[in-house]
Amino acid sequence: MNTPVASRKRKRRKAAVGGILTARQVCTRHLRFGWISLAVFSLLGLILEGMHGFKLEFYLAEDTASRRICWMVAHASGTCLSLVHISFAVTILYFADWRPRSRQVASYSLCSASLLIPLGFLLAGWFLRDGKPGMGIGMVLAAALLLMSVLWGTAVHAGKQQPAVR
Amino acid sequence: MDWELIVYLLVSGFALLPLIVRLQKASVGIKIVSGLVVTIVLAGAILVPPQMRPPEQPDLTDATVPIKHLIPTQRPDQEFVSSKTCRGCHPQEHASWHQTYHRSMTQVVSPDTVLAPFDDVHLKSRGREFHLAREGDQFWVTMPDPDMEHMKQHQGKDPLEGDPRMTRRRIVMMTGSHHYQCYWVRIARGNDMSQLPWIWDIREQEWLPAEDVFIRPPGHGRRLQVWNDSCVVCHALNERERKTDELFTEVTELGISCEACHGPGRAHVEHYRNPLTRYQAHGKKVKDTRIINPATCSATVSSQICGRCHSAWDKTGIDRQSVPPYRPGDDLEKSIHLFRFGDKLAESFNQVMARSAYWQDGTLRVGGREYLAMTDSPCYTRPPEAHRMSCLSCHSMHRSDPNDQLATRMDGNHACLQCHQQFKTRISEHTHHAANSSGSKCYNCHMPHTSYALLKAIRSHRVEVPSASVSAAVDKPNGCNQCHLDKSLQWTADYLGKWYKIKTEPLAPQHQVQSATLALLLRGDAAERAISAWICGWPEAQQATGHHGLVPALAQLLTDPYVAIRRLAFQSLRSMKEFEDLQFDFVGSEKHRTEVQQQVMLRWESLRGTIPEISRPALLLDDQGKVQLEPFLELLKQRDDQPVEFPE
Repeated sequence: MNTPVASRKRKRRKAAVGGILTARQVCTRHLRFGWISLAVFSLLGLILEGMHGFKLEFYLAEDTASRRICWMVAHASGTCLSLVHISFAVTILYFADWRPRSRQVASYSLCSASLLIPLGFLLAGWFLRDGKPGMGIGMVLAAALLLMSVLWGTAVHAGKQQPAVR
Repeated sequence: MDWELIVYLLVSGFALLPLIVRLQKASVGIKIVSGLVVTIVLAGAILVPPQMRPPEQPDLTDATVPIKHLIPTQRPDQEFVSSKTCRGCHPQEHASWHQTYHRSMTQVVSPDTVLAPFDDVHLKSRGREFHLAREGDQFWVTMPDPDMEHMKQHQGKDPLEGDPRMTRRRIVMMTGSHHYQCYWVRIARGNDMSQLPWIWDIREQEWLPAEDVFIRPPGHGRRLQVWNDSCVVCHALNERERKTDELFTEVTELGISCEACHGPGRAHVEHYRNPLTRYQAHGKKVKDTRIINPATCSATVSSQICGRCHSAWDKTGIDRQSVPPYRPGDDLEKSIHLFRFGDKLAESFNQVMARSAYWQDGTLRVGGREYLAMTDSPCYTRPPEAHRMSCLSCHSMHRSDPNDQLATRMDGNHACLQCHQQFKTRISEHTHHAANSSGSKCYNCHMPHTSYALLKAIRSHRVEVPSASVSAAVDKPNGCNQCHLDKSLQWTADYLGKWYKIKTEPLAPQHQVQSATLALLLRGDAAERAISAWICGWPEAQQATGHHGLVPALAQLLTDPYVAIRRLAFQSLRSMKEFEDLQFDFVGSEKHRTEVQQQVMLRWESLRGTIPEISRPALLLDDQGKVQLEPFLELLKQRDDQPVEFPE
């Protein structure tokens, strides 16, 4: 099979020696993740506005106040984390001597946290329990821990390392 | 299948798997953090219990059962949407309605809504004991098993018969927030609510036995109330009529909410859900036919909307197959059978109640059913539709004081002057009383307190002209004698003749001198005694009369066979400075009641000299102010002891 997609995949596999991606590859992934999620969560904001406009009861009713809050926070956190991804992508290019394996784990942790936080809020708002957020809120707690570890790791590296590009 | 758990695990797995796969060669710190993350996610899945589904018949003594599973189900349907939806577009109207007592007519019990004390309260009535307790945010009662009592009532027995089996029930729902508050417990038949037979009097801050709050013939047994059978119709929105094989009541909303007056809102909501439709309608004064606005309806239609609940009716004789349930805007009289004066159907149900509900001239004398009185007023029957009086002429749900729902400025003469403008500048000339006195208030003469409900007299909503002839014929109090408590009907007839040229047929000898109020206090039926006892404590009557010459008659009522009358007489006595420290247990023993009566008469000794000489003959007092026992007892002997029962 020699389609352009297959050829791209082969090239990427070659570059990723021992499953470790290069700084540029990680950067590309986070840029892609960041811009796509920024688009997705901005769209979510538009959907939430639309639900206000169309006076949807399951969103606006008095006893679904928690749903409104959860989904608004999902929109806000998703959008903010998209920007964090874009910043992280640039950071990786600047700090080239970050240990590749640590960088990779930090990258995946950030991706996981960026999925878990907004999705956790969305889920918590969808499955309300007596007007209170559902179990999805547990995911947010776990993801917050993950996000903190990424931010802490990045901050430590930022403190230690010299920028690779001037 | 718990979808929440499945989605939770799928999303977590999808988000965490790429990270977990790459953890093999990661540092110990990262492994620990990742392990913690996975542990938290899994703990969430294991520890959070699955969503509880409402059980068919929950354990009524179990404190962990959510309260929403114990009360009638609240759910919108294909017609009604509930006030929560209305709030989205009409926040101001929602807010003004929210502060009314209509909204809080039926509420779920919570520390915010309960007004009565529940902390270790012991109550006893008719040999039955009740222990009220508050446990955290829950309210409980240890009481005779209501299921057993209902079973006895169902079998035609007295529920109070035999030894009670005690049980513990959670108070889950309540009615009222203005005058009284009564409480409901769930019983083991569907989701039926049984009334706790104690009522909290909000004004007096005391627990009253439910049997003694209402005017019912003495010695009547306990009548157990089921909310789902009677109250639901008016105290909740859109009750779904239960078929004989159905046990569970469903409503759209507890309390009297938006759609009770505006009609079902689903079609209106669906239409205006689209923001473009809303934009197009903005600023246009086109009437939306999908919803009713009582303020823009005709007087007849808007009054009928109130009349659906503020009247007495039944559906017997209505063809339920062809006549749909009443919705605001419909012709009320086609949907229900109203119990007007002399209604044969009402008499066939309960003759005592049907007779008690009206004065014999056809004026309603029970409060809360004002539609039946208002629609008998000349202000409603005489003018053409466009100028007809309606409930909304004086009342408003959105621009009013929640107390009586009187619209702005409608608590004074402005209400009547809206139409009768000719009296605006010459009120004193018309009333022959000082312009700022109670005698110049239109209400006091044309809407006297001739109705009764909630342990008080209420203004008649049949607007009328005072008439001594009618008062003499049917023993109905009139506006003049309700202020001038020491005056006779002849005195009233003379003034009505002199001032308004109202002719009165010659009155019987007992009406020539005797105070009309005294006569009703002593020889009236239970309703007349109750209304007259209340009027003796009315500040405007006390001020106009100027003395307490009716104290002996009120003292007599302290031993009245009707419990409610004893309480009214006591309250009126206590409203007088000389008796404000009086203590009286109106449900206490006969001995206690006689003792308090004697105590009142002893205090009266020091008061009797203050009664003006001119008033003494009318009040059956001799020259020294002493009670003339013979005519006093003669009047008492004539007391109308026909049973009276008020359909409050």
